[in-house]
Amino acid sequence: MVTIRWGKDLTDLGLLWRRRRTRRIIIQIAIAVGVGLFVFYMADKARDLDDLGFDFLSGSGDFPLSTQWLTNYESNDTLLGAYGAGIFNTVRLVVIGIVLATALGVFAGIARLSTNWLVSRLATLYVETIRNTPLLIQIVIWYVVVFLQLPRVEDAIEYSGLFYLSVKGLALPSLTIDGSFGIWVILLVLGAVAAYVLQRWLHRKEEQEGGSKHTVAWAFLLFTVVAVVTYLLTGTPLEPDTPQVVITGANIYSVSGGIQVEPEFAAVLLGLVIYTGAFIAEIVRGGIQALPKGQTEAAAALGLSGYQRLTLIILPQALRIIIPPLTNQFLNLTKNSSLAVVIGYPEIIFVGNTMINKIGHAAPVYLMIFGTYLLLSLAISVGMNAFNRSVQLAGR
Amino acid sequence: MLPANHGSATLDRFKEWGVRMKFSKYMLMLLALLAIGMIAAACSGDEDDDDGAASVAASDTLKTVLGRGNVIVGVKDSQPGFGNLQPDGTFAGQDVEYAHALAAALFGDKSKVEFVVASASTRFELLSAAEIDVLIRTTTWTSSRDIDLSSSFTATTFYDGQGIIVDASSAVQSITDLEGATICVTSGTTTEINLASRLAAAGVNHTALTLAGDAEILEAFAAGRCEAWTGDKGNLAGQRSSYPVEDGGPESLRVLPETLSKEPLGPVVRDGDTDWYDVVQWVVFGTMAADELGVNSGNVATMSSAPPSKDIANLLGVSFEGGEPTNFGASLGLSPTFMQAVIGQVGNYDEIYERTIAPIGLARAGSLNASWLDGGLIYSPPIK
Amino acid sequence: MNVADTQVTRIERSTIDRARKWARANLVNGTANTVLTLVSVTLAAYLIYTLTRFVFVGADWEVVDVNRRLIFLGRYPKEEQWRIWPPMWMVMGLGGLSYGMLSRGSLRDLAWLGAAVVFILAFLATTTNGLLFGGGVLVSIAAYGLGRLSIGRPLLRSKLRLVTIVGWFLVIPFAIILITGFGGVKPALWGGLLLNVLLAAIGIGVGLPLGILLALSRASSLPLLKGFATSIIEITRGGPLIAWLFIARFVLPAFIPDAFETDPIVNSMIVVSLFTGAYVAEIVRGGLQAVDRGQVEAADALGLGTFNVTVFIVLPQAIRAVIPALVSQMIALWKDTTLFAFLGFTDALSGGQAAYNQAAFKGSQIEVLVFVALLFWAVAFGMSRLSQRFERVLGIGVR
Repeated sequence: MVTIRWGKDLTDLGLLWRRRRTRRIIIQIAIAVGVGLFVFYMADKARDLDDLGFDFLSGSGDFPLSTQWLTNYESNDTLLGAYGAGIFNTVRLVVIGIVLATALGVFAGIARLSTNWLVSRLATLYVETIRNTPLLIQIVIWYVVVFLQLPRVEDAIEYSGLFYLSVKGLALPSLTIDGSFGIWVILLVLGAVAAYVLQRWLHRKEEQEGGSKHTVAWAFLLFTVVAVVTYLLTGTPLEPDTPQVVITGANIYSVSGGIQVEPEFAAVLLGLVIYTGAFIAEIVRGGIQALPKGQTEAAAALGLSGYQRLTLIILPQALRIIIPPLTNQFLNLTKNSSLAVVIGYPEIIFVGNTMINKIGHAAPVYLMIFGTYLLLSLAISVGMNAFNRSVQLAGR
Repeated sequence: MLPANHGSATLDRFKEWGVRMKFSKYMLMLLALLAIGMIAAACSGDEDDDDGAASVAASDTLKTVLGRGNVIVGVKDSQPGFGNLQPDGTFAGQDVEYAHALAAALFGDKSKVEFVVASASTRFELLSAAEIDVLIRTTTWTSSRDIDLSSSFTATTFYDGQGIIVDASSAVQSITDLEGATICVTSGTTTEINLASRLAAAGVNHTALTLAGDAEILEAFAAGRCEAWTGDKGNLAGQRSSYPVEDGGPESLRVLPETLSKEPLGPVVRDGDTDWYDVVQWVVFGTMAADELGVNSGNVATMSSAPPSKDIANLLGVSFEGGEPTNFGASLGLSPTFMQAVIGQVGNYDEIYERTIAPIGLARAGSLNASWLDGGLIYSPPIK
Repeated sequence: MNVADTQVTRIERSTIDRARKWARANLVNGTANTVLTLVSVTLAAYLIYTLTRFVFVGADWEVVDVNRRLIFLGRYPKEEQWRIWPPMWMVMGLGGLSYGMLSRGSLRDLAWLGAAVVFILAFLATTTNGLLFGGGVLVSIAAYGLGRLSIGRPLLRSKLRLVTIVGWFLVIPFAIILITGFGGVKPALWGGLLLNVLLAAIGIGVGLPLGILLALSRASSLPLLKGFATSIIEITRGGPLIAWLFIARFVLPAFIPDAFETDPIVNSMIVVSLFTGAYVAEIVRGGLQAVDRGQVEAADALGLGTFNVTVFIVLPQAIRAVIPALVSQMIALWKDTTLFAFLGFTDALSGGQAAYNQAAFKGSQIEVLVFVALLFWAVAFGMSRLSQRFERVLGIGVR
């Protein structure tokens, strides 16, 4: 890494203004004065605007939000409530999006390197088409071409009353919570800890004695047993909630109950996942290709199968190279979730714009939006950095 | 810092592209968050001072516009009949005609207008940021917009009302039949508020699906994503008349008889700008007065040289039977004969209506938008 | 059976054999691979079927046909259309020249280029436009010939290289001067794909030097300069472009002194350039990190000043290392220009949106969107391919 230094070391004996120290001081004073003046000017201008301040948030904007997740906002609630619902909608997109995009990206990245000609061609086609087309257009196309082509509710695709797939979305069975749910969760956490300890113990034994001890399988089994037993002991704290088709008003079909996945959310999610997945695929491919060929050859010489080579030798090493650019993609996905406005999915930019449209106050609303994105980015960066450190340590 | 020739070349390249996450970056992000928090706190504290300095800004739009040589108008680009972009890159519609009328009044040339496309959710931001001089975009006059959004509504060019459109074959006859229905509505409009309050009053549970625009709603409605589609009746009529044949054509849609709300649409300007407000308002009233008095683009020249009545002379800024002409135009800061340019180049209210709104299937006769002489609401205050 | 027949049979057999051998090695070696192949074939067949059906049966392309002017030029006035041609010829000429100098040319390239020419010709409404474009193609071919001629002639080649580099730098200023100057078209009326192209070009044209400056400042030993650059970069990257664009459109005007009468589109361009600059800065910083410290020390020892060391030693090495990432950023910017549709500028996307909102074309949203997406894809794909070619010629990534 190079550092750009100002002035030459040897000129310290020259004229005063040519000395390195002098230049350093002059340049820095100029910056300080410039920034100071700019900030002063902006602050002065800001005082002239009459829409600063955050008091308006306690008022109501009188607008509904068509999609909500975990929140219960109604149109006469405060604007703060509306913005909160927007944050939850953004987080929902980002969290699920990151998980699915990573899965798709890893899959497609490996597929691009497949020895199967057709598979690698298809993966290339996917990457080159999606990466080079604006996401904004893709989201609308997915919405209209995929989700609006689903059958009407009366002809919904269903499976023995468990799920319904229609143009009004996907309804899945869910569980409602009973009183003893908290106790069960605590017991579950204990079970998970016990399973982890078991896995570590078996792993150490594996390293000492050699051979496979099926560490994950045993740990999983322990956890499952704990989960089932405690579930029965606490008196089955969860009740299934299956979706069902209801007919209301003048022959209007809808699905109620269970978990509802709205087509608008699904379209934005699909768009984000497919788009980000294409970029992740390239990162994964590059990460794998960056490994010396000898790694694969040595693994093959040890008699590992193709799947073992990939999961035990290649991916863990590629991961170290992949994580930094992958973090960048996660941050991009977070920022790209703002494009959901194009079909009116109420994430923070949409809610913010609606608020401004109803009651003004553009400057503070954008300040809030930036604060939210900054927080989200910070959370992702911190998390990925911790992950990165753990991976790097494990490897050395 | 990065040792050269370490590992393969591609690996190095990857490292170079990758983000280098350092502690300093978090510090910076945290600092930025802190700064936002501090600005927020500072803003809340300042509330009292602000009101004093409030309405100082931009009150000379008329002078600015005349100095600039054209008027910047926010219009819609996607609603046939009101504001819609044509294949050749020009705009058409009633709102657009009024933009031209304004240019004709200001500069004697209806082409001296610059159009800015305003979306439903950004129009008031455009107006308050002075990106546009006047907003003529099917905008409903409401108390909260007038007061909270620091805008002023000048006159009503179209009396609309919110309606609901449903599939012709559906059993829905009135809004009470919509229990449990999903209803599509454009985001950022007054219609979404009306919908909520009217259906709540009727005790009808529903889901409002807000989408970005009419085209998206059309696709969603045709697919059965929503059972009903609500919007201004003027807009719904246009949507219905141009409903795609492959989805069933206009006959497959039915407008419910109920009108959910009053939606008076017209040009909007910024608050505290009376000179400019007056100009916009009286250009609109001028076209209505011309309609009442029977002055149109065909006869405006002859009427100007020999006005048949004092009222017409006042409107056109000419002397009546040797008397002194009124200072209607001059007092607005315009040419005395500005209405001659408006009517000659654009036409009176009726001509504009017939050219733009009638083709989308809304007859003027018998509607709220008929002249008051015919039992409608289009009424110009006297010009004298 | 005569000799000729036998030969034909042998050739056929060998082709079939080779195909069979290839298929066995690449498609059906092992059970898992066979299953994969079957799944892929089904997927590919489904994709091809749906797409072909959509393009030839399902879609009604009339909306695109009628509104091509709106999509390509937006509200740009018809009588000023001549101003677009000279810059276009310049681009085509420079493209031909660069291609001739860098590549031997291949049938595959020719096929792609031919398809592009036919595609563009199909969208030019009048014969005059067709002839004007044809002229550009001729210019391009002539320039290609000139470029080929230079191979093996170092003197001509170095001159041509200078012409090409200077030409590429001048093409955007030239286009902007010709379009706006001499009573031309002001930015508010730029529209359609033309607007997207100009936005992307200006964004990268201003953003690249700005980004390099920011990266250098961030690598500076002066704490205040470094802090300033770091803040600008990280704050800009903190929010999505769409939020910045909204701020440029709705918040910024209140902060600009009244003395500056700015065009809204110019404000947005400034913001896009700043945004691009911040991302470019991070990429260039990666490049700076790859430059060996010894390089600077050696240059210092030779007595070169800060400016000389930076411009002639550090930057060329740093930028060379990150060209692929810079091209990705250009492509990202190119796609991001569609966000201007939210701001009320009639770019290709919002021109298309207006088209499918016309009374005659309700419900043809997908046709328009697919077409616009195809336009963006073609340019982005072309750029990425060109950059790969460029990398190979320059030997980037190979040490």
